[in-house]
Formats: sequence, C-alpha cells, structure tokens
Amino acid sequence: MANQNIPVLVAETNDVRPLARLLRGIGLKHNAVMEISESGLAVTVEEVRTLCAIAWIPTGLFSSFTFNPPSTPATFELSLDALLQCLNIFGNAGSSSAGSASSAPSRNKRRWAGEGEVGVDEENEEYTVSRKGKEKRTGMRMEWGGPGYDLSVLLSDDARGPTTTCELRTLEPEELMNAQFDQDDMVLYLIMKSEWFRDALFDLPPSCTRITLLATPPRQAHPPKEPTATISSEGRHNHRADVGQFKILAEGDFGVTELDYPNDKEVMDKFDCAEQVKFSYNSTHFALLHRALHQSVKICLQIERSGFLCIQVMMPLTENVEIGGHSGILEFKMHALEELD
Amino acid sequence: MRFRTAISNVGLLHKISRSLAALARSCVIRLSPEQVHFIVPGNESSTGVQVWSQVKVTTLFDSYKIESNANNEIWLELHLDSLLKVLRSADSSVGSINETRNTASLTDSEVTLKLNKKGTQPIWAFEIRGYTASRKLMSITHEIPVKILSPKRQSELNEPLCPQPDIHVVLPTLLELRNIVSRLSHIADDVKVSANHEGKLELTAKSSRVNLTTTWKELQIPNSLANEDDQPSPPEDQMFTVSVAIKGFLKFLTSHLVGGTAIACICEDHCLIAYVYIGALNEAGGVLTFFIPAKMTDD
Repeated sequence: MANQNIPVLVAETNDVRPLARLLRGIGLKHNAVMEISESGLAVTVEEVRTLCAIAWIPTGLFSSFTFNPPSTPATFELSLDALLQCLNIFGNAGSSSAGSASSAPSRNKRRWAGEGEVGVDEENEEYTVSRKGKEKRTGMRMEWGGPGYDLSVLLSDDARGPTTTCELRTLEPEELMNAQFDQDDMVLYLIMKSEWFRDALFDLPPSCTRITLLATPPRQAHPPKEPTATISSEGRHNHRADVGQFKILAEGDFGVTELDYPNDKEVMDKFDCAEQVKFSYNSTHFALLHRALHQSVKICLQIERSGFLCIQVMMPLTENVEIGGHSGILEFKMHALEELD
Repeated sequence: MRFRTAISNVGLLHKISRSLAALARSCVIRLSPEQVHFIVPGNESSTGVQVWSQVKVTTLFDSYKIESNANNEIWLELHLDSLLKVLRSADSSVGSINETRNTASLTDSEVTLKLNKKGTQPIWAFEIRGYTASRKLMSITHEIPVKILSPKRQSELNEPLCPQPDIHVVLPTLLELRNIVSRLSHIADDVKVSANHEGKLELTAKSSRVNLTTTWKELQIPNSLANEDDQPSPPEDQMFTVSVAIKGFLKFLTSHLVGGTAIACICEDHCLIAYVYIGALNEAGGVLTFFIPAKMTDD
C-alpha cells in the first residue's frame, strides 16, 4: 500500500535521556498505550485495572515535534520494554545512574520494562565506568505513519558512529480504565518536594500492606497533653495542630511507622485541606512509585472525596522550557482501600 | 618432555585466558618452539563457538625452552578456572591490573612457568618472585594440574573447515560492539550480521515486538585475496548475511579485553569467523580466531 501521506508524527531530539527517564518511571508493565496529540505524547500503563500510570511528555522535550492529526485517534499500544531497550541501545539512556534508588526496594522482584534480566547488565559495569567523563548523547527521530504502521525510531550517538533503526510493532490499544480525577471534588491538595516523599516511602516497613494518608487542616484544637511528653514535643504537637499537617502511616510486623509533615513553608509548597482526610491504599501500588520519584523535583498529591488518589510527579525542567510549561509529568492514580473497622 | 619459561606479558596472558574462559571451562594449549596455540574445540563450549588461535612465543614469554620427542611440541589441556586464579594473583603481583600499585604488588617481580610432575600428575608450576615494599624477597608458587594430550587426541582436534569467506570487514571497536550486542540480547536470541563491500555492517535483531537494526558505515574492507581465482567480484552493495546466536556472538566479544583490531569474515549461511589481532595488524604478535556457527533461520 503506497501511502504517500505525510506521517502522523515526526519527533526529534538530541538527547533521549529525559524521554527515557519519563518512560522508565511508568515502566511497571511491559506494554503501554501511547496517545499522540498537539501537546505531546501521553503514555499510559495500567496495573490490573487498579493503578493507572501516565507519562505526560510535552512537545518541549523534543527539538521538533510535528503532528498531523489523522481521522482516527492517534492511539496505539506498543512494547514499552522494547522502546526503552531501543532508547538505551548505545548505553546513554540507561538506569545505571539510578544506582541505589533502583536497587534498594529489591523486595519488589518485578522486572521493570527496559531493564535487562537480573545480572545480565552487571557485565556492562566496566563499560559504563569507562565511558564516564566523556559525555555522549543519543539523538532520536521518531516517526509514525498512522494506524497499521510500525513506530519507527532512529537513533545515533555521534555523526560518525553507528545508527540504529527500530521498528516497533503497534497494536490496537487495549481498553483503558483511566478514571478521570475530578478537580472539583477534591478534599486534599498538596505540593511538596519529592525528596521528602521519596524518603518517606523508603522508611516504610517492608512488611506493611496498607499505607494510610492522613491530613488535618490548620487551626485544630491542641491535642490533649500526654503525661510523658516533653516540653519541646508538646510544643511541636501544638504547632502542627495550628498549621495543619500531613501524615503517612504504615503498620508492619514490628510496629507502626508514622511520618509527619507539618504545613511549614520549608516542607509544603501548597497545602489545601478543609477537613480531616483519612484514606488507606495498597502499599504495593505505592512501591511502584519509587522509580518515578527518582530524579523528580516535586510531587502534587490530590485526593477526591471518594478517596481516589492522584499523585503527579514533576521532572526537573530541561533547558528552554516555556514559562508555565513542564518537562514531563508522571501521574499515578489509584482508588482507596475499604476502611477496616 | 621439558618446558620452562618466564612470562614476560602476564597481563596479556591473563586477558587471553579471560576471553577464553567466557567460552569454555577448559582449553587446549599447544606449545611449539615458535608459537603458542590456544584452542577451544566446539564441543567444549555450549554455543558451538570455537577458538583456534596462535600467539608468537615472544609476545608472551621470555627465556622460553621447550623439548619433547614429538617435534618439540607439547599439547596439554587445563581448567581455565584454575589458570585464571593463578594469573589473577600473578597479575596483581606484577602490578599490571591497576595502574596504581596496590599493596599486593611486588617490585622487580618476575613470573616463571615450569612443567613438572607431582607423583603421576603433570602440573604447571607458576612461581612469582619479587620484593615486597619492605624489600624482602617473596616467592609465591601456584601449581595447577594439567593433562598431557595423547597423539591420538591431538589428531582428533582439527580446525573447522570453512568455505571461502564471502566478505571480510574490519569490525568497530569490540567494546562498542559488545555494548550494543548485549542490549540486543534482551530483544532476541539471534542476530543477523550482514556486510557489503561498501564497508557497511548491519546487525539485525527481530522479535515479535520490535525489529532493530544497527548500521555502521564506512568500515574498512581489507584487501582480500579472495579474487585470485578470477571470479567476477560481487556488486559493491550486495549484502552478505549470516545469523548467529547472540549468546555465542557475545562470548566472542569478551575478547575486547585483548583489545586489538578485529576482522570479521562472513561465510553466508555457514559461519562467522572473527580474527582478533594482538598488537598492530602488520606486526601482529598473534591472532585469536573465533568460529561462530551460523543458525539457520526460515527467512
């Protein structure tokens, strides 16, 4: 079929790392649905219909982005795993820099998309080390002809070096749940440094199955005095009751871990909470956030009245991002667990 | 049967042994007055990759003495694991593993190798001598058992016969190649290696999810002697192709340690032969030859 039409998508970049970083953050399954629009790419992954992860990839992440809307929606399913392997073919978009962050939660035996079998990549250590110092970047040109066509990705790392072309099979997209988050029905909205949140997730006991988020609005009555409290801890409790706080609770085999975030300027960028909010979530879903939080700068956490949670993870801005623009956002949405009595 | 030598280039011997150890557990070493041959026959490695290499005695050894009543040749077989352990120790003593001298390194050190007998068991005895940091003489001896090959076994070891290669091409740096091929291994089991006389080399991996082709251009094509028999030379852009198992290809690529120029020959649908030169091409101190059998594919 000689389709002489112009391709639906042509996107080019000089450095695939920001793109690979975003995709790796949602690489919790091997297949993903990619949707192309004027504003960029949206790559969605759903885990057993309970967790929905979306990578919003703005056009600003590409040096050029041409979208010619076809008559049907520009949506297809592809192997995220294979795409990540391709982007890293020259070893410049790898997770090696992820280092400790990626290896720490190893209780999670899942093989992430784009990552080699355990052990295989270790052989490459030598190579990674030898390459440090000379910064190499992989450039990319991505092209999609339209429904029925493969997604073609052309990669090269320097002018004289080799080039790699990847033809990624595209499939009819699987039906997605992708429940919409209702901004008007929100009971909690907070923005903080992702570092704070990431550290908290690392500190949670590995044996816990439920993670409870609790937020209290500012100007609450001071808690009753505890007989064992010191003056400073009492002052702290009172202060938190005054300004409001966000709390993460997790019960493991050896006790309860409780992490408090007072609504102080250096902790919260934003804290909107009108009444006390308390919902619990599946800890395995939270564990899947680790990867996304790595290398991110801020998170925005929103909860609907029903307990539906939406966490948006913001990536550091790359060069020449327009004001108000972003360099990619990862969004995770999940429903609350039923309350235990 | 006598054999005794000093090892002048421990580092290189170590690297060669490491490349071979990626392929097989044991290897055959044929020592002759001029050459040392390292042989990994096909049945030794799981992937069918064979190594037939020859290294000039002077590249590795010094004060080399060999005597036997079979043309002054000795064939022996040894476990690469035990050889590697000794060489690692010797290498760190001589101090060539790390540029910065480690605490284990000795000064004025030399490593000698002797063929000995312990009871009825022939052994290779390595002696590492040198001075410690406090100028004390130190001598470390390692002994590893070896097997002397009978003339019958020797005659069973034959270099594989291959048709006239369709094309020779100088490969990109083996480290770069290995990096890419190791990533292909996550995608498919086999890789198609193609080259033409324009100096184009293609590696193609196919799976149900993705087709991936990495292309190099303007690689050197060595002046082959293939056209002696007045055959019309093929068109410049005709691609010659062979499919090999990525596992086997990667094993050959471990020889990036040896770090020389490598030339690949494609015998279409038969095998891929790779020559890894030790030192410069023209004054090569030796060459490691890898035979990687082709895998038959449907297309």
